[in-house]
Order: sequence, then structure tokens, then C-alpha cells
Amino acid sequence: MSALLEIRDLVVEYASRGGHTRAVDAVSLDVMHGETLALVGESGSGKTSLGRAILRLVPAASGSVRFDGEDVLALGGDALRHFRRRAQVVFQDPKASLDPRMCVGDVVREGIDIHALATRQEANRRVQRLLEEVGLSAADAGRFPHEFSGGERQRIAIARALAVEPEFLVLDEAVSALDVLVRRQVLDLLGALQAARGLTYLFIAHDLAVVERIATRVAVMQQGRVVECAPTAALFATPASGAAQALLAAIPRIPW
Amino acid sequence: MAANAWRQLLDDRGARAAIGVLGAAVLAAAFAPWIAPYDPTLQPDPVALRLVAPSWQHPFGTDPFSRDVLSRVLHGARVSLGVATGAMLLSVTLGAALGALAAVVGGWVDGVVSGLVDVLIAMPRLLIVIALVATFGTLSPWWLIALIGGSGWLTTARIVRAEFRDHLQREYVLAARALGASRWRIIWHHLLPAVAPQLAVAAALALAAVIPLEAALSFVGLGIQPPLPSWGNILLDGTDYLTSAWWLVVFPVAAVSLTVGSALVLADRLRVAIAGEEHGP
Repeated sequence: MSALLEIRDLVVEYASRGGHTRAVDAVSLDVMHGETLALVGESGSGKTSLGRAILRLVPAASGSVRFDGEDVLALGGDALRHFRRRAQVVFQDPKASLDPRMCVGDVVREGIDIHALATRQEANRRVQRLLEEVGLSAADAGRFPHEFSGGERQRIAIARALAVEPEFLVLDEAVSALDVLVRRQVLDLLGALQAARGLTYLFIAHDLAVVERIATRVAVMQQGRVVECAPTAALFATPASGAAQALLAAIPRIPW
Repeated sequence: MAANAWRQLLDDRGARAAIGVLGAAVLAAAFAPWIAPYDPTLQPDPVALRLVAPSWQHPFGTDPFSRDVLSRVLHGARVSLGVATGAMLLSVTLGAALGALAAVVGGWVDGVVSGLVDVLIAMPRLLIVIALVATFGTLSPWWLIALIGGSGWLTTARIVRAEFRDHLQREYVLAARALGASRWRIIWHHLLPAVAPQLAVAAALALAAVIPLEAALSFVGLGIQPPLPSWGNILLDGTDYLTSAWWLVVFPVAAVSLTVGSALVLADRLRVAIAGEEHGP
């Protein structure tokens, strides 16, 4: 398997009182075609900053990101817009990530409009198909985000991301805010979409329990660094780093 | 969602009264030539009809030049509300544009706009406008709109800048950026609709501020020039007769107070309706 995304020595810094805070500290990671790489770590470990830097939503201080061979950090203009079609994001809180003033149809349509992927009529049909693909109904297009439950809103956010037909999705704590049953349904949906569309996922989570079923490999972050990266089964069986051991110990196990 | 705020606004008696008064004032201004019983500049008999008290022929009385005060107040609404509306639109548009620019571009542009706001907001607006008018001499209504409007964008710019900066950090804007939305698209499709309610409040407040400003300028003889009537210069004509001909003062003052009061009530109720909206669904 070849790498879709190659991250090398990536550094993300935020200006803070009297200098810079390093949110991401020289991270190197590969994400393979078609896999789900879970990025796990406690709050403030730099996972979200890493995900956003890859997508060029926050600037990187140094290092490199290659997507399908292209230098993402150097992209501009049309090349950057084209990259945005290929790499999409789903955020943690669908209440915050959906514009409350837009109806669902317009939310999902936005990417189609931006990239002029379809005529007006064809766009409407696409929106309806996307809503059905994520388990909603075509009639939901006219409703507003606040009329939906948390899980349904996350499905809308997924449909918006899929509208531009990406190959790669950053799922930034995409199921963390959902309750257990809904979380399972959304994870199943993500799995089905990955199989059907051949998607590659960077799955960001703050605990290991969520990623056990979905991840191919797990990278553990601590204080801006990747301290361990291993296939899921191996990491669960023999965690090498203290951070991984702590995260494993935090998974609630039901004693039988 | 916006429909909720609108419904809540219309359910409020104060808001309905304010909209009614403002609507009536606008209608009076629009149809002044047809409603007004006399020509507002006609001086039929400066001797016999001078300073006639309110009567059936002259419901608001006549002024020292025998002109009909009701007709002058109606035509004055045209000028006063016209200048006020123009100045309000200009100041809100200018404020929104500069506030948006400062928030979206950031950097030195933000520094210049914010610095300008901080300096200018410390100066009394009336004094700035009087100083400018005194420099340029008497002005046409269009220049008056430009001056009053051009000096009133500060608070709107502040509000829009703060709101934009807040919304720019939110995930729905990040999601739009991730989709490849341009700055313009984000401003038009996401940020401006987000601040639209605050802009409506700012517009109502701006209206309440510019009506007395125009009246004050015209009252001191720097604004609208006679014989064109405005609420301010009708009042000016009446000051010499304050004790003998009360109608010269009471009616233009009532016109100013009613419209300004209504704009303030409307701004207040709009704010309440919007707040209710945000805590709503």
C-alpha cells in the first residue's frame, strides 16, 4: 500500500504571551490509501491542530505535507481549491459546524456550488442522493439544522463533506459528542461510506475505545508529538508508550 | 428562525406602535405634495395671515411669513426623513464594510480601522459635522447626507468587526473554508447573514441619532436652507415667537420626538426579539 498523505517534521505554532506555543512538534506520519489512521491523545495534545494544518485551515510553521505527491503547504489559487475538493473535514460539534441560517439543502450544496460541479437541477438531485446516502431523506433538504438531532446533524456534515467527492476525510472527533448508540450508527455509516467510496480517513479521537473497531492503525499523540504508531491490534495488545498505556487503562471494561 | 424573531417583534405592542409611527411618517413624507393642504413655501398674506393660531383652515397654524405650518411639517418630513434615511444607510453600510474589512483582512488594515474608530469615537459627532459644514459653507442635502452618514459609521464598524472575528473562528466558517469558499463567499453567505439582526438594531439606532442631528444643524442654520422646509429650520423660524406662537415649536418638535422615540423603541424591541431567538430553538 502506498501513502496518500506524507507528513514530515510538521510544526504548528500559535502566538502566545511572550513567544510561541508549539501545538504540533515535528510530527512525521504516513496515511496509507484506503486506511483509517486513528490519531489519539488527551485534550491539548495537538491532534486537532495537526488535522487543521494538513487541511491548510491553520498555517504550519515548518515541515512538509505531501498529498498524493503534491506539496500541500505550497499550494495556492486553483491548485489549493482543487486540493480542497480532494480532502474534506467533519468537525466534532455539528451544532457549531452547520450554519444555523442555512437550510440543509444549501449546506450540502455549498461545495457543489463553489466548485461548479453541477447545474442547478443536477445539484438538487445530487443533494438529495447525498442525503439518502447518509441515511436522511431527500425531503430534509428544506429543513434547518436545529430541527435535527445530534446524530442527524453529523450525518448532514458528512453529506456536506462528501458533496465534493473527496478521497480523504479528516474526522475531527466526529463522533465524540454523540451518545453511545448514535455513535455506533455514525461509525457504521462511516465504515460503509469508506467501503463504497474507497475513502481514506484520519480519525481523530480523545479515547481509544472509539477507534478499536474502525482504525487500521493508531497514532498516539502527547504534547504535540507522536509517541507511538502501530497497527490497532498490536497497540491494544502491547502498548509501548506511557501515553498509550494510560489511554488503554482509561477504557471502561465491563467485568463479566 | 428569522421568522420567529419577526413574529415576536409583531407580538409586541410597543414595537407595533413604533412601526406604525415610522410607517405613517414615511407615508406622510412620500405623499406630502398630495396630503399637504397648501404650498409649503407660499406666503399668501404676510400681514393678515401672519402667525394665525391653529384653526380648521390651518390645523397647525401659520408662521411669521403666513405659510401653513402643517404643510411645512409634512414637506419637512420629506427633507428630514430623506436626509436621515440616506445618512443612516450610508453610515450602516460604511460601518459594515469597514468592520468586515478589518475583521477579515486583519493585520495593518485592522490596525488602521480600529485606530481610526478609537480616535474618532472620542469626538462629539455634532462638533465634527459643524466644523466641516463651517469649513465648506452651506451644503446641499446630498452633502449633508454624506457628512452626517460619513461621521456615523463608528459603532456599526465596531459591532461588525467584533461579530465577524467571533464567527470567523467558528467551525461552520472553517468548514466553508475547507470546502474552498472564497473570502467573499464567506462574507456574503455566512457572516453577513449572521450579523443581519445586529445590523438591523444598528440601523434603528443610527436613524434615531441622525434625525436630531439634521434637525440641530438646520436649527443653527447650517443644515437645510430656507425656503426648503425641514423640521430643524421650521423650529428655527419659531424660536423668536416661543412665548406668543407655541404651534411653531410644538409641531416640529413633536415630529422629531415621535420619530426618534419610535426608532429607539424599535431598536430596543428588535434587540429583545433577537436575544429571544438566540436562546430559542
